[in-house]
Amino acid sequence: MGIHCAEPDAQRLRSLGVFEGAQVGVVDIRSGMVLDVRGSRLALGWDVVGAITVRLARP
Amino acid sequence: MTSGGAERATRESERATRSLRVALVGNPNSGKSTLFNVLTGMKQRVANFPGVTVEHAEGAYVYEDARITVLDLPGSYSVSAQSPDEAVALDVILGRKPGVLPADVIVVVVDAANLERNLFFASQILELGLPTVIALNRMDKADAEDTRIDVPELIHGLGVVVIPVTATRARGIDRLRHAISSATSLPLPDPRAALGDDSDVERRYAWIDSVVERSVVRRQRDRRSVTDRVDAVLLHSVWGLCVFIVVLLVVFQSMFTIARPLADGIQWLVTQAGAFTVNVLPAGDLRSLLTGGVLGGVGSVLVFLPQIALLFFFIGLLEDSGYMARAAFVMDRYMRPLGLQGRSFIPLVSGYACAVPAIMATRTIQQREERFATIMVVPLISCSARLPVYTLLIAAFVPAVTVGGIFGLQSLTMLGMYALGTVAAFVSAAIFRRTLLRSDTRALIIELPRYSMPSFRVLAASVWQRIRIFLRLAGTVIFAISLLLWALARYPQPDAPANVTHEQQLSQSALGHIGHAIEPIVRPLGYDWKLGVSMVASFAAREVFVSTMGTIYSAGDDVHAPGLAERLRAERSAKSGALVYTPLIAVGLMTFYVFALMCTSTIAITVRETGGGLRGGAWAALQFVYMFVLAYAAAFVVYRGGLLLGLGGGA
Amino acid sequence: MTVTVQRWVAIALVAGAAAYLAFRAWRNWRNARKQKADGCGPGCGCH
Repeated sequence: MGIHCAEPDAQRLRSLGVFEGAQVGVVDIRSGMVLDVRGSRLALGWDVVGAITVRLARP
Repeated sequence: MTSGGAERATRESERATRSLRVALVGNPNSGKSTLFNVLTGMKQRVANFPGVTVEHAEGAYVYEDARITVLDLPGSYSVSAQSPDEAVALDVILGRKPGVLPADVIVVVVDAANLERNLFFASQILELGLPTVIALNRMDKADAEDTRIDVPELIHGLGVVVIPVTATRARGIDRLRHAISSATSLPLPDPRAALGDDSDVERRYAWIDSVVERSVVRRQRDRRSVTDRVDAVLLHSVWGLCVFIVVLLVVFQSMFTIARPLADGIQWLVTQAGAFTVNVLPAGDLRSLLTGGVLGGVGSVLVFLPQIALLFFFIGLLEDSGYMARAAFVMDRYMRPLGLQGRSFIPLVSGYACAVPAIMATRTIQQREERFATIMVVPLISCSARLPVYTLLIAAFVPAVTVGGIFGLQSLTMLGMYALGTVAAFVSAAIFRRTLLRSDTRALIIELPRYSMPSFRVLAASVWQRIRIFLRLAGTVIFAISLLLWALARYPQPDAPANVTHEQQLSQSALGHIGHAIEPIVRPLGYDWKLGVSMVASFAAREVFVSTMGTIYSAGDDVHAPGLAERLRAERSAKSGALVYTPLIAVGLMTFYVFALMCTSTIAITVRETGGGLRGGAWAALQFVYMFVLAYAAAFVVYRGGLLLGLGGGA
Repeated sequence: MTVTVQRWVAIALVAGAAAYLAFRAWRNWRNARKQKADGCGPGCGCH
């Protein structure tokens, strides 16, 4: 995955385990985004979602 | 040096060798505060709200003759702190906070059911090279999910003592206490194993992965399917909102139904105490003071204890079950147009209980402008102190009929008052964010903790704490104010008391004179001098409104009559014989209480949280003035508008 | 209990209450000045 957003937000995401190249699961993308990050659920508001790209991992 | 001084010095140094300061740190939602309560036997010096430790709380216990002081610090995801609450934690650990001694031992609370993310912060703490113990909390959850953690292997990987505990069931606490007491004599964690700063997260997570791989076996990979299925509904932008509204409705309805019999019981006790006093004492000043001042004043406030306890119980339930974070996520999209993010929603909901912890909870908001805007509007949310006022007026003036078969008109009126305050808070926030407090709105990034059955023990402890606070308030401030008001309402006494009615006596008392001076201010709102006096007195604390009315209406009586509500309903003007209080006046008065900031604690906390000193004072003054203007204008519009619509005004 | 005794006991209690409120106000004022205010005065305070 890749992240392109303001540095304070990116910093916060990193410490929560969301960083470039991390493997995450996408649980919900109906409103905002809910990610499975190493077994914990992280909810992201609309505006961060645009900054994050998730690529399908090789199985 | 005198021998006494030398002796004292020896004693102090002796005590110093037998005392230890312990700091509890860890991720938010790792169960720190629960562990803190279990360790210290729930005897905190500083009150904390469930889920919101924003200031350090201090408690202590004795272990093998040593006094162990425990600091409960705000939850943190990383040592590169960003929000004010996270900064507090780091400052305390590093001994940078003035007035707080640095900790001798650090206990990192790690959620066993969420190991990797928790170990991120734990590994950063280990690099400080201080004596550290890891408390592996929520072992019951990990067991339930078939996650097997090889503790010796984990100890090997991390290089410090790891103690498995389950704080909610008080398991493993003795072993943890032992580990804390012996931590200073063990080798320190090796700071040479440092993994770089926060930007080098990949390396850190790679290291964590290698540790976890060696020590943890997970049977069930897809372990959160139930939570995810529930969230499929609760996180939906429309359904989630509907569920939230239904939850609130149920909470309010049950607050009425469950609290009613308990409140009636307390009322019965107060009435009995009054009858007893009258039987034991002959007529005189002391008897009047006891029935009018103490029972009439304090007793009329005590009746609301069950409702306040229930309110705190329900808010604790919402927070501890993990629902609050979902509500914040759902509300994020609705709050964004107002210039606030979903995170602001949590302090606002806490505001239903009390504005003081709610304002402290705004520290989890990173951006100053967003945080200040939230602080400014939190007191508009109807807190538990308004409950006695609403309940008294609703019980007196709103008929107890059922609407639509389920909800009572009384609880709907109550809900309306809460809704009014909530809408006003949102609108005011939008105005603040567009004028004084403009900035970009930061993105919402929030962890959704798994749903869990709240621990009854923990909930009961927090409700009990609130009950104690309320009883202390009733026993000190409200008690003292009631006595003073009783004296003001009884003196000076007319020369020939026998020829004077209670009404005339009251009108000529000191309180009556004060009231008549205030009357021109409250007259446009339709209130008489008695309401005016009660309103002014309640600027000390809102509950004082009820106790003052109670004192006024029983000060001249020798027998304490039951039920203040009935008396208000029956009150007639001496001149015209018309009813003094009408439903319209009651609604107007409730509207005033929805908006007005009548709480010295809230003012003090706003001063402190907006920077203290003159700057904080200016914010608090602005908050007080805008809310007062709003309250007066709203009460005026309700009363005058109601009169124009022909709803009846009273005397 | 005679009327006079009742009156004196009542006066003592009211005077005590006034002194207590004055003491609280003074303590809050002092704490606020020391910038150490814990925000826990009367009202819905925290402890």
